[in-house]
Amino acid sequence: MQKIIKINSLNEFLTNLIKDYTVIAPVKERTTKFKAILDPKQIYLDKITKIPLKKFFLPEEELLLAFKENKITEVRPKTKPTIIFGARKCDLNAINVLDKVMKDPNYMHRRKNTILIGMYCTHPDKYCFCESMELINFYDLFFYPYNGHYYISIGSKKGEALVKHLPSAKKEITLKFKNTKKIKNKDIAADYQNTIWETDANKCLSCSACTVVCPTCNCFDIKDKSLINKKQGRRTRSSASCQLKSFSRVAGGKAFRDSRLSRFKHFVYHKIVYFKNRHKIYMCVGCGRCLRACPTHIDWTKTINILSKTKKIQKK
Amino acid sequence: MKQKKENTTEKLKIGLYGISGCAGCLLTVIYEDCFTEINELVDIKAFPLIKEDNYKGPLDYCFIEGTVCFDEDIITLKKLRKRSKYIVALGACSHVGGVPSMKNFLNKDKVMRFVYPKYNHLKSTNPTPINKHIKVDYYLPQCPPSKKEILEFVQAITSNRPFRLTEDPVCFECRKKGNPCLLNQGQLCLGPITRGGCDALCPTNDTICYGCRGPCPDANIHAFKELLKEKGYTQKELVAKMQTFAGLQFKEFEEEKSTWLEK
Ligand code: SF4
Ligand code: SF4
Ligand code: SF4
Repeated sequence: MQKIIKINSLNEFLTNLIKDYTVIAPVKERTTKFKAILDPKQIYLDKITKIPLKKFFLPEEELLLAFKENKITEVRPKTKPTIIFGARKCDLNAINVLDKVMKDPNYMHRRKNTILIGMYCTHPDKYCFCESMELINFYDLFFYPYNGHYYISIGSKKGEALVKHLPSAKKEITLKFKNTKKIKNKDIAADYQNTIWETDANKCLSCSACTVVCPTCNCFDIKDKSLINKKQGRRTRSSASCQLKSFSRVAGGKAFRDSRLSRFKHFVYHKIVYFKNRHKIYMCVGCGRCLRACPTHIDWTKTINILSKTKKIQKK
Repeated sequence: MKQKKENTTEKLKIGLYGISGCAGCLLTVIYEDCFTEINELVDIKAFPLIKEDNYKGPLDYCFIEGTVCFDEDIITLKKLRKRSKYIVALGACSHVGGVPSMKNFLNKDKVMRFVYPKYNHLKSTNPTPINKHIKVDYYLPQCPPSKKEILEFVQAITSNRPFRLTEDPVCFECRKKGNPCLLNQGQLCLGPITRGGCDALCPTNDTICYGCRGPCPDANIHAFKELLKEKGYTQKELVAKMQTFAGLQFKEFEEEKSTWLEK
């Protein structure tokens, strides 16, 4: 059963939440990102954020432990109960992807402490292809705007508690997503050796933008640093990128993924093939961030579509 | 007191010298943030910029700032090389040629006339980075070099830890900071082909990357040039930008002649 709230009562609803929770929502500053807000007027829903939601769960340069003399302290995040408001369906499914692989106490702490409230997006752009990625309903609450009201779907007890004071909707409203972009045939496992990938890889600058903005890329690097007297030090975690040679560099200097081509293909195959084989869901949620951010306008979804076209022709 | 003296004798002997340059890199070393610690870790034996009395004997590490612009510079370099176990190129001029190296791509005499209209006795040469004349063991890039990196280097040599420059491009740090991309906005940012390690200082302050840290070892310059052509930049505009600091190295890199990159 859905709950219902007038669109112009939303700010009041959020203001009340801000009293008890840290509310994180999309905002537009120098760039668009998720950030703790103090006033619902700060919220910006027009376009998908450039910076993904993962930054909240996996912060850059996160301090994991510190030591002083012989005493080691593991650092745990101290977060107030948090509500994420205004995440899109792709953003929410990206959290589902991260949940499959991130199991460390800091991530788990933030996840357990967080309520996810999604918002239907009325403006998918030409890069969005979420419909092709078999997304699921993954939220505590989800808002559908319709006829001056939000129809709120409930996904969990935690979510239900937040809206129990609201009236129930008389009819159920869920809206379809309207992507123009689609991936037609995602079965590309046999095409790894296809030379078609070279065209994309030759254009690739190995700049790492795609992995940094991808909401599901979660590879990280752990760095230990000690002060020169070796009596004090800290261990931090920050994101790594498979598009960089340093990513596969090992002691002795060898980099196992030396060629740009192998690095580029790894990105696509991890998103579309490897992760799916292991976890039954695609690692890509179709948000299109990698395509928007790529300075050389590489569109690997187009490449996949060309592959399926040539296959059809071969079959005929 | 006695103990203290023993410790001092064990410290590495350091010299900091400059050839033709603006002294900015040497000045960076004496910023409060890093100088106090450096001074504690090593024995600064020679530093003509700030010391009157300078030791003339053998050094463990010799930091050199500046570009080779005169024959005298070569003589100075060779002497320093003989005196030192390790040579450290300090800053963009020393590392990749820096701003003076631009002259390699311009009419030498015109440039000289432009800067010094009156002096007829000057001889105009092609400015080069120091590794064209002596063997260089370490590089601390950037114009001016990063205080953080200088300190990290000194910490590494005094604790027997290896020192490596990052091989990742400026874009990696820039994107991680969440900066809006200047290249995507149509500006000629050299971030994708430039070696990182500067914390994306320029793009973070809304200024394009000028490539002062030299080419990133994995740079795809061909694709980068194609992209800028598509964006409507001329070859001349792009090359001029690449020649601001590290034109010589970008050129060698493209011709695959560069030997210093994997250091
Ligand atoms: S691979 Fe691209 S489209 Fe897919 S989730 Fe990552 S950024 Fe979004
Ligand atoms: S954003 Fe584009 S150019 Fe940069 S690493 Fe990814 S695919 Fe390559
Ligand atoms: S602004 Fe420059 S350095 Fe930053 S991501 Fe864009 S191209 Fe790279």
